Amino acid sequence: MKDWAGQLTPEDLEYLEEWGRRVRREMADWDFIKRLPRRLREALTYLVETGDLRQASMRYGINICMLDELRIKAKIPLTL
Amino acid sequence: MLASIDTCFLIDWSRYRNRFLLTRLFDRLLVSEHVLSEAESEGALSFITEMIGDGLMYLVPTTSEEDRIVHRLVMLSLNDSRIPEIHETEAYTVAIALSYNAVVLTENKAVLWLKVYHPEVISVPVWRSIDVLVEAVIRGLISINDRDDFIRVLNNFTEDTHHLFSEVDIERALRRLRL
Repeated sequence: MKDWAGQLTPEDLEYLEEWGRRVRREMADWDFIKRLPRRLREALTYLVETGDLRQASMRYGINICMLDELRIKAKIPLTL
Repeated sequence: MLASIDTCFLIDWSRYRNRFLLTRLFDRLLVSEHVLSEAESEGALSFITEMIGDGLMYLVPTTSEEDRIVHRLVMLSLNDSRIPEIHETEAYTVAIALSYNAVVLTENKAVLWLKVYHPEVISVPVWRSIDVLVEAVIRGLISINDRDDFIRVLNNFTEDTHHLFSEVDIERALRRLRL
């Protein structure tokens, strides 16, 4: 079994972080996000900045599946 | 070949038109009760129900062995500032993979960061979605003739899941496929 992620380097992770943050910021539907109740708005903004669906779900107490549904409506891409 | 699958990966793939590719690539998909308890969306639930019903997904009962691994992973993520905090769901996904010698299927940052910074701790393969698609091509489960065909495969995945792949990952995947 090939260990694909095992071939990634810390530099790859750094690149994924920078690239991911840029495209999430660019692609997010900010008008949609701004109209949401505060907790959901903050959760999606956190997701845009970090790309971490799990942490956004935990931090704002939103089920991860529900948050992912909201992510799609807000046009925020997953980038890992 | 077995795979241990985490929640983010499962949600992502439940939206993909070719999601049952997973069950052709792996003999069995292993999940913990943590993953099942979180899968509240209709798509994810329906995907899981169908796979369990067909005997393709197995709900793994965790033991003190997995508990010990989870404790170690949590301690590592708390004590290494480079690693995002790992949640118990993903930690159990990794623990199950280590116990059953399975591939970890993940879209989780903490798992990926742990794999890169502490490869000795996660000694089994870790694959993201793009890795699964590459492997499916290598094993002849997806037919492609050229670069454009593979890019179309990735574009279909993106269209269904709203998951983008970086140029670096795409170029690396193309090199693996010798395209």
